[in-house]
Amino acid sequence: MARDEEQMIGFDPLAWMNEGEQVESQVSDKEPSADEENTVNAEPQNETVENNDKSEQPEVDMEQPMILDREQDNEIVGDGRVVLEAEMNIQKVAELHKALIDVLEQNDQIEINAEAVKTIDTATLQLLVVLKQEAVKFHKEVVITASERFVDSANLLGVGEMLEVA
Amino acid sequence: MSVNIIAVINQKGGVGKTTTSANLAHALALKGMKVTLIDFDPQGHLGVSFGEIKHNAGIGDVLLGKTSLESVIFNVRDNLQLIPAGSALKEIEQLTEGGAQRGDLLRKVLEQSLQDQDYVLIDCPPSSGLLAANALFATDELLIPMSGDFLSLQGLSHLMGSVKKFEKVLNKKYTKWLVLSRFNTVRRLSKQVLNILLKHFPQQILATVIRENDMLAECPSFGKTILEYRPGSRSARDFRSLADDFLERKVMNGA
Ligand SMILES: Nc1ncnc2c1ncn2[C@@H]1O[C@H](COP(=O)(O)OP(=O)(O)OP(=O)(O)O)[C@@H](O)[C@H]1O
Ligand SMILES: [Mg+2]
Repeated sequence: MARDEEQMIGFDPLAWMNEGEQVESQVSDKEPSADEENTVNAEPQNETVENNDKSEQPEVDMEQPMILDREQDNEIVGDGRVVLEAEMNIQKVAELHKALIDVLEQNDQIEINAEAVKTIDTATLQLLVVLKQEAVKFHKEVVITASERFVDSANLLGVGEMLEVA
Repeated sequence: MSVNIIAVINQKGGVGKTTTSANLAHALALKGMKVTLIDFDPQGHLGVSFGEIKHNAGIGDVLLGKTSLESVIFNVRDNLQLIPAGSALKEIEQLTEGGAQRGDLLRKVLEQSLQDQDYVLIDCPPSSGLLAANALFATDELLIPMSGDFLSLQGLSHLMGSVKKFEKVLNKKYTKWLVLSRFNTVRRLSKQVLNILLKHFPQQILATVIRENDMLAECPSFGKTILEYRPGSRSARDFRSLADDFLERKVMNGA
């Protein structure tokens, strides 16, 4: 795989700086910036995963590396609700990203149910932070209901307040 | 010629503010510049980096009006002075009295001082509280150390938010310089972070990148800068070269 060309940053947190300047200076002969590629509504995705017959989450050993399991995809319940599974890690971020873009497009209010989360990594938390910020930009609301573990991890990373779970 | 006061600032922790302050300042001093470092972090790590650990009084006491600035200036190397944090500095962050004045303490203290110096570098703490506000009041020029990871972009976004607010309220524009202070040259992510930075801060990223190197983490425990600890190392070269960039305003060109 040509990892060199692969985009490893899902979102540019500084994109707003250009937007602000363009508004301030009114006239801008600049091409529309490439930032837009990363905004939520840029690429419609329809990867909504129907997976309603999910049984109890298996107990997960926190130290074990997680094997990506298609059957355990984060559940999208419809009506802007997303349920995160027990173990969230970087392998799943791309999929979650797509799923979140999808719900964010279709709903003004999004509820992320993170009550089952037992482990979560920085990549996933970053993604949620980004989602929160994007939502504000589009005047949408993201509410996260979180497990204790989720809250601890978020606080540890200093994003608890941002995610409004602290 | 008047003195240049520069805040080394980024509210994200561990990005290399103190390492950059100490080593850049020493490199500048070795090039003949007169430099004063202000340890503006209650942790006092900048002082430690120079082996100066015994000071009880520092900039905190000056801001609280307990002592004079002159009494807390220490010569730590040729051409290089240190104003330690002192144990009172942490009180500043907690000040609840004094209204808007609280943010303006450092600027007032520095107003007519240190006029014989070429540069004053303020090593800011990893927070966006009152100390950072004081630093932003006191300077027109910011040096922003950045590591090459995603969260530091996130942190920079926050910092720029505060900076813009200050620019509005104080009606000034900061000159901003970014320095990649903990750069992993092998990591692809670092390069992508750099590309994003180049897009938003064209002509503002100092040309020399400080590469990640354990030696930089080792030298503070000896109370030495890298220029004393391993003068021949690539990190020492990085900082000498960064000092040149800093003096000549040598920046990276966009991709
Ligand atoms: N280029 C580098 N290579 C290796 N280690 C580094 C480098 N720069 C800094 N470090 C180490 O990383 C740690 C954090 O650096 P430093 O204290 O300079 O950051 P800081 O931004 O001042 O942190 P704080 O926010 O706590 O004040 C220190 O242990 C330091 O020695
Ligand atoms: Mg520091």
